[in-house]
Amino acid sequence: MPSPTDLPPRPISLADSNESPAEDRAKLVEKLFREHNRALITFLTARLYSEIEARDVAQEAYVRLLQLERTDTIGFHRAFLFRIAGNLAIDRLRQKSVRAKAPTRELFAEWFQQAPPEQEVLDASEQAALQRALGELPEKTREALTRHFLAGESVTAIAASWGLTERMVRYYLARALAHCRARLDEENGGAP
Amino acid sequence: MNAARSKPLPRARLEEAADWWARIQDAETPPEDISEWLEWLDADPDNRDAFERIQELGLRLRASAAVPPRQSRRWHPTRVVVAVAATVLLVTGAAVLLRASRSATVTFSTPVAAMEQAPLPDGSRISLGGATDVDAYYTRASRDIDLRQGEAYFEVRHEPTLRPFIVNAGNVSIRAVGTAFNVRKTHDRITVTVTEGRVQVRRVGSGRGARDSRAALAIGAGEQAIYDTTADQFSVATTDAHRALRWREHELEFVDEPLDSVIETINRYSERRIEVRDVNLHQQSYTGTFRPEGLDEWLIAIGRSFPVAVDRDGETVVIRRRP
Repeated sequence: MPSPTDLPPRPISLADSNESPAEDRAKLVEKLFREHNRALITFLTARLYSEIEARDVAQEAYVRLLQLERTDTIGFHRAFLFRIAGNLAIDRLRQKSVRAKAPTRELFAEWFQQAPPEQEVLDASEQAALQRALGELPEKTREALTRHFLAGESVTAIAASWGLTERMVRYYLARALAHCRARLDEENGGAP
Repeated sequence: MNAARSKPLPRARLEEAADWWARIQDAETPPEDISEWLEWLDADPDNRDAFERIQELGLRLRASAAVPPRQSRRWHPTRVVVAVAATVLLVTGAAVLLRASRSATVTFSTPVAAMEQAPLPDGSRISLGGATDVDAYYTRASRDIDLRQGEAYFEVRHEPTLRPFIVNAGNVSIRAVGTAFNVRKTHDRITVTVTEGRVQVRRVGSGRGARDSRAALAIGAGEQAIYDTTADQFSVATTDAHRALRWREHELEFVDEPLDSVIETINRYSERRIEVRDVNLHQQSYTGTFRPEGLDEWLIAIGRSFPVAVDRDGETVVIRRRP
């Protein structure tokens, strides 16, 4: 995998600026943070299944951007941030399989002050609603959800056992999530 | 990702969001798709809401599977403490980063008995033992680390440009490209233990041994180089490298090490400070294991095995020549 710094996207010219490249860079990173941090955390959470981990990786991505050395030719647009973050998430997932994660320093502590919302488990009535919703699903769709979300099996493992592509397994998972979400919302009267 | 929701969303919107979730989740997703997703997310607040609610259900299912129902998982207090402590510690680091010049300095610092892991700017990782101070200084040409005091384990990321990763600890300089090693610095010895790959270790700076400073020792996995600051020389031996990393499991192992150096290391992990008075322990060689919670037993054993008296003086432990 090429490192994120190998292939800078279209450069943004900083030639007209009176400020130092480093200050410009810090400003650009701050701007990216303001405009895209929420989406970045959402994106990383999809990859890592943990908002805590997502925050860690997001911080790392901003640090990388701040520390890139080619100040004049580096594009700081959104896609670059997401690519760095995506690569870091892959690294994080790989590392995770070999050793347990220790707490990471909050490099951007002032930007990440409040704790992520707790991931509440389903309460009894939601559990019941979930069971009903699962019963309404086609078998493969139901099984995909159970194996991936409840038994923690990877998409790769499920795809291999079914002889399907990972894309197909993700499609089943998406169907299952959408259906269960809709049914849980209905049973809870939508907005509690 | 808020549990308090605005309004129920039509099923079609949820399905669209779930399809996006499936695409985004795939690590192979091309950047164009991610851009397209971001535009979709921004196009309508309901899109974002739908996506976050789909994702939240996935996370809650995972959380429900991991713990028995009705026991909510909490943001663990110790993590909060770590985060708060790190906030204080890293204000310096972040401030420097934000003013980053061509090169960046990050400072890491841990209190006594603490242990921390942190990413370095290049994706290498550093684990810090108790009472440890490290500066990381990155430039285009090199990755320089100063271990000012304490102990740290480095997992160095290999870079295609072969930008060297150099750890300086007192008079010793360790050079790596992509490898993993531990460095422990005490007053009279600097110990480098390699767990993966190879590193070059050399003596730098002034002093009697400076004339030899061009000569580098190459040591590999399972080897340990010990630099004795008093004698100004290195010794190299094979070792069980993972022993040298036991500190990460709150256990310190010493093999044939001067007792004064052992106590200096223990002081970085012990809540009670051990003070050595009126006695030179450098000639006393110690081999054994220390755990912070077993401090009292350890001190009794030291009193029995060495010609010293061990006394409490308030929160301090005093080791003296045995009368």
